[in-house]
Amino acid sequence: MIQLDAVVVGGGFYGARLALMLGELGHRVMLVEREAELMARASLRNQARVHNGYHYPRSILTSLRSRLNYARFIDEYADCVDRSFPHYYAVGKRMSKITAAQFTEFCRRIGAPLSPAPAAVKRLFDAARIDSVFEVQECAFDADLLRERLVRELVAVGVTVALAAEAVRVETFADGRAELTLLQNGSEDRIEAELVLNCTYSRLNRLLSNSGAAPIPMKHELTEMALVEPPLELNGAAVTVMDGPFFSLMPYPSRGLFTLSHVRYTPHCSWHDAAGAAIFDGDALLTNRASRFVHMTSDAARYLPAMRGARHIDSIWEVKTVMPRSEQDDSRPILLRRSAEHPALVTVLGAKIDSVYDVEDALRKLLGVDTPALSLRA
Amino acid sequence: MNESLISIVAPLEGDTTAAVTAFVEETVAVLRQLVTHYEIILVDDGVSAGTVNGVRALLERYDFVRFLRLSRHFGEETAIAAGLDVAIGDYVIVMLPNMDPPSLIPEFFERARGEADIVYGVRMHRKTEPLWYRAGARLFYWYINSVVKAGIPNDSTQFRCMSRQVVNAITQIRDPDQYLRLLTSYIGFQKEALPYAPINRTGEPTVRPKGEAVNLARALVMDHTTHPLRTVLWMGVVIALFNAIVVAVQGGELHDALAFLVLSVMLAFVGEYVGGLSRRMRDRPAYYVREEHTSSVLLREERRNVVTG
Repeated sequence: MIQLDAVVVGGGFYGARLALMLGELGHRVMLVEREAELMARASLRNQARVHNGYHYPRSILTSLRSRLNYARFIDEYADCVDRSFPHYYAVGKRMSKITAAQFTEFCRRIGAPLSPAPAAVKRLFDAARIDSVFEVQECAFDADLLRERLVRELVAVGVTVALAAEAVRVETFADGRAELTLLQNGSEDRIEAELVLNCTYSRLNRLLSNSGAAPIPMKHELTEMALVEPPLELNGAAVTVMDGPFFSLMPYPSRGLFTLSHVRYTPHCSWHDAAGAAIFDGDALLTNRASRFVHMTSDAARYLPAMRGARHIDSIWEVKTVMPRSEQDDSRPILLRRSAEHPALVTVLGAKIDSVYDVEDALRKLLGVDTPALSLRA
Repeated sequence: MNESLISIVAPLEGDTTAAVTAFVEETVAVLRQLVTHYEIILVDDGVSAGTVNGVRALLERYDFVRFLRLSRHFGEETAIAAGLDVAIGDYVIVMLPNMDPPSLIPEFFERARGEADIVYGVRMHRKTEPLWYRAGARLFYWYINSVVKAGIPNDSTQFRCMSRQVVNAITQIRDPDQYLRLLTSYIGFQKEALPYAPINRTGEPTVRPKGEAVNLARALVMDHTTHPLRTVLWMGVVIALFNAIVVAVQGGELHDALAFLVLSVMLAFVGEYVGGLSRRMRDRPAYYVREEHTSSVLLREERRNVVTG
């Protein structure tokens, strides 16, 4: 039996940051990760895009928050972001939910820098299908560099990191403290803590349901992003075609390649966690799927003919989790919810890497960190 | 196995769930043998709620099925145009699920990979159609091909396979009335006919209702040519001359009535053309898409089959 102040389950970017925050406040913290290293799952297998608001023309609030967090993120992690490439946003003509004029006005309202793309870049696009092309300011993060830095910081603060360890379930003592069962090297350990943070992203409901708590309504998608060598004509630029069933080509610094993702082809299938039903294990889908790279490039080449020259190197597969209501309106709310069944268990979900600041603020508020004791007990 | 990506575009209107399901099942089976990559685009041009649910079930069973739902019923030709706009294939095959047999897809595809840019289906016979319909079709094709020389092959159907180059050419034409058969004739390229015997999945009569058939014939003619307009105008001139001569020689009122009739006919034709012009002047989208759904197959069929108890 180990006694701690807090256990953070899930060693992705959010989990590591929150463990760090609690450690810096002077608490004894353990960070638990199922994989062999931190940031090995969704924090690694994504677009690596640091959002600067452009992506959410249907939610001004999300865009404004994005803008604030973007500046803070690229300032704090200047050594982990790649800002060396130009990024072009092209607005589609048919099937687009926004026109070029509306996009310009939207960027003006949220104060996001926007300028017309150079003529040589515009010529690369099919004028019959693309309304207009803009140059924006948006960068990519390097997940490997982020991980290295977080590990250094966690060690410095004295957070215990348990790798290849799986949090099985949470139980609650009569006094309200939590007991977490941890499976590591085939044996079970028990940890007592004032606070357990569930930062397991696509596996949130797995831990909740194993602990006898009601699942939170979530939608999951099995996603594929193709890792490609981009066509030479693009000269290392990132391209996003919006706003509808289009595609994005973004640098993926940790592999020295680009990700090609497509709104229509990246999600292979989706499912919902329903109360009362068994929680479906999405990880079972991650292997042996046929790639949709050919579909992605066949469509992308209709807008940007040079995309025919993209070379498929590999694909990254991941289970993406969203709150169902944020699908329609572009909003990317964060979730921070205390379990009704286990008062010391708090579930955390964000959508974008830079929303971590919003999550930290919300957690500080929930804990009332001005008080020295870390307890949610009434 | 060919590396090309084939897109199937199929407009759905009165189709039943059973017919669409059978169509998709057969098409998927054929395509899996033929190419490494494909997609089937079902365009909802006003199907029943039951069929919508039927298609949704198909999306959970078969990969690479897309369901494009138009905002209302726009008509078969516009539904096909909407499908062509979003198709991503190297080759695009247009099919009507109720009458076009998927077993012919390989033949259409092989021919399109050869010399032809467009391979179009032609009815082998019209034996099952009523006499009035067959006579009307004969008259239509005689007029459109022998008189105005529009080049719509006799008894051609929507079933056709087009190369990407042809699809790009067709989708560049933004016309409120997208008659594929007319556009195909207009853009040129190398064409080849493929005679076949249409099937009938539902067993319902396959002929268009009288009004719709006449209207389609009128639209196909008038969108292509001003020949009828010129004909009636010249007819008017001839009759007016004749009228003037008759009146000059013997006087009378019967001829006035005749002249009035001819004028009315002329006005009707002029009206049709002016109407067509004004429709084009409005310059608004030919259709609107309400939503698009794509396949979401959680368990693939192979695995589905081995799951027991």
